[in-house]
Amino acid sequence: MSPIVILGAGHAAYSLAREIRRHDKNAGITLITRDSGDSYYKPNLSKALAMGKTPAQLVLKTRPEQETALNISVQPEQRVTAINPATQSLSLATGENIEYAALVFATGAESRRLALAGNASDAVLHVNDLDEYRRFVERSQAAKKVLIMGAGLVGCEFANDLHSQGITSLLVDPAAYPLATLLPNALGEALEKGLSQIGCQQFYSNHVTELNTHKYGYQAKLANGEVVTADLVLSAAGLSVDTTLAETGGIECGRGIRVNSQLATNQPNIYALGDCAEINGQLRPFIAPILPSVKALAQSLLGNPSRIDFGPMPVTVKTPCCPTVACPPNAKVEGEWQINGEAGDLIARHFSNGQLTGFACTGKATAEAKTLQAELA
Amino acid sequence: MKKWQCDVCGWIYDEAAGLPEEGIAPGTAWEDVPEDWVCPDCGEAKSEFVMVEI
Repeated sequence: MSPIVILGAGHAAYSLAREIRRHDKNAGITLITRDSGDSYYKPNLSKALAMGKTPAQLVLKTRPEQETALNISVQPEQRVTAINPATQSLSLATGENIEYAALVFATGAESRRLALAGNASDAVLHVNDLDEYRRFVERSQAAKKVLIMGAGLVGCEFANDLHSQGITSLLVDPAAYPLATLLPNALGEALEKGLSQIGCQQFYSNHVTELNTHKYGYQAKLANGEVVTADLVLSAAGLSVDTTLAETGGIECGRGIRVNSQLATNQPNIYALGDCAEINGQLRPFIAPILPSVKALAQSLLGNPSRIDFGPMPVTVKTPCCPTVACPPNAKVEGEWQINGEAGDLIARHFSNGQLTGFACTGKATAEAKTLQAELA
Repeated sequence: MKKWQCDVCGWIYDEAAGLPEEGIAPGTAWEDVPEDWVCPDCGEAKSEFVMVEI
């Protein structure tokens, strides 16, 4: 009997393997991954400096430890070149063919590569996995100033973490304030103030147009004509899903691998979850959606098809300078924000025709996040 | 007083500190943390925690 094959070895892949094993001691489970297969928790990458943890210390379980703990096989450093639904098999770059009873894409997303003029665009660093983070840590040993492109969750958390080590960050974002996709402006401005209080230089409604090497570091030209220098440049400008592999198997893709409420693609026995999946037309990034996805998909894979009910999925932004929890309304929902609180401790409630459809809170007001989430459910 | 680490995300429950914002008083032993309690960081079950040697 062929195994359940999971592509990837991140949080989604290992959580799914664990959940299947919880319900079925014998099902064959094989993970195939580009990286080493060692497991780590990606949200820790953007607070590891303050935690005093080296990249090696961020590994929670090595690949062999996971294989033993979960009684699964994990094939590291592999590249999958094609999916063949007709024969329910996939081909590896080594030429090997692997058959699957069910195939699950848990391949995540890539940090978006920004097109930049100048001679230094290939020196831009990304931090969307442990290997990229290891390179970033090596390069930031001597850095005093780091330019971060993107003031979303990753950009803001990294800026704060760098400041915990006395490294100044410059945060550039086309939006008018930080976390603009998650927060109404009053709370975005509270975070902006928190970041500036720890010395973060911020450039909003702006973006880098050109990047060149400059003495020992880099010089960046911004859209409004300003010029800034930094020892290192980090891109945290959002994620995009590489769907090339899925498309080799005739799997329907859009911004991600398209799946329905049971995480099933248009091809039989092929599923997707986590950052790579576009679930009923919606991308569901970050950690929270993975747990309900894993619970539902494990049931479906074990012969008991079940749908996911996501419910409210608040995002916790770990910026000690201004802690933030955000549960924005669905993009298509019309309505308005109602904001109260003062200074950096604000609560925002989003109402559409009298009904609570989203919330966000900053500073001490994040203590209310659990009750707001219950109100929303 | 012992410490317990979530095997999935590394979050640590320190018996001495408890988790007041979730109604778990400081000094609450691991055995007395409710069985349906989940890791505040990644949502994993209590059974996924292992004791951490200090």
